Amino acid sequence: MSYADTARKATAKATTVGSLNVTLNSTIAGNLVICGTSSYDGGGFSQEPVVTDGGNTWTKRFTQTGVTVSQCASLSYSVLGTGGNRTINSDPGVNTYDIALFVHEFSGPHSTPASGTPVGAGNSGSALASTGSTIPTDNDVLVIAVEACTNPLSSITENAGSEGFTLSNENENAITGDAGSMVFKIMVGSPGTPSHSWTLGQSTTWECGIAAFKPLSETTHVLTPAMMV
Amino acid sequence: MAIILDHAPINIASGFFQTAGIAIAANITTLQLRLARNTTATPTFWPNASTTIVGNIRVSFDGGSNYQHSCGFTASGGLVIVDGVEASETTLRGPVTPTQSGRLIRADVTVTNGPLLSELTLETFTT
Repeated sequence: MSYADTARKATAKATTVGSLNVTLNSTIAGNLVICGTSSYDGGGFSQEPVVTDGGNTWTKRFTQTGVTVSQCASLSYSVLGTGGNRTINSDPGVNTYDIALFVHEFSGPHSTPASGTPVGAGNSGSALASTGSTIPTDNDVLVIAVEACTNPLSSITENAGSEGFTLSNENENAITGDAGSMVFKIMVGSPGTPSHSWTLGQSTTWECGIAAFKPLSETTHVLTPAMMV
Repeated sequence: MAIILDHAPINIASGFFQTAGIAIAANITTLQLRLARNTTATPTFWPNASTTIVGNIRVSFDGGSNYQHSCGFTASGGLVIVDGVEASETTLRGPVTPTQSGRLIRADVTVTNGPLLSELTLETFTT
């Protein structure tokens, strides 16, 4: 069984808060829920967001912190033990933050879905945010990339990248919350070395990362005689 | 954008507070809540960092019999400086979907070490 997009997703944004949550309705036990967080603390303290939903186990896949500012792009996930309406909370821990949350549910995950090693990157003073390439260790993986950027009124363009990603949610031209974006791609067969990039409306400080998730079962790819010549 | 409340004065004592249900139009997808913060120009608003709020937005699809949680936040008062500038508001923006007629929205608020004196603005959006 490979990944499929359930089309259940939600986003919330907040300015000058300690934590932020949003409810994803009608989730199904056994599915994978992804939570991307873009967070910024103008006071100068950077903390990794801790994601919870009041019952399921959540695991952080990456946090890419800022180069010169207290901002980070973070990705956490849960293979749901309990479905239904889940209120997913992101708490950076201390101080007050501008936060954007992007949550999205996918069916077909492996029970221990991490595949390969996530990669991330950050820069200050450029308009192209690029994750670098991750190397999944499985076929038919789900790949997720998350980006955060500082300038609140900057446009964010999700580039096709190396594999043609789909927008999950974004906080573009953000007045409320931290600007950011989350994209996904359900791969078929060998994933290669996927990466993703965003073109920002102006040169600014950004952070981003990318990670792959293993499916419940991988498709068997049979070589035909012609392919074996 | 439509404005439901525009800088309405609020004074919430410590404890739990729940608004009445507020009707929203059938095409509304997003709600924004803005809470005025303590600044040099508004010294009486939410002055103490020890005064905290837990705010949750809930949506009813059945005329107010049942409400589902949409989104929420926690925040503390006091003067907050962001990038060298006094933060004038705490803001929450979240979904009130799926769209349909007859929906009501409600805010559930818990204040600790109140009262919380501020101004509340509620706005709705169709995108």
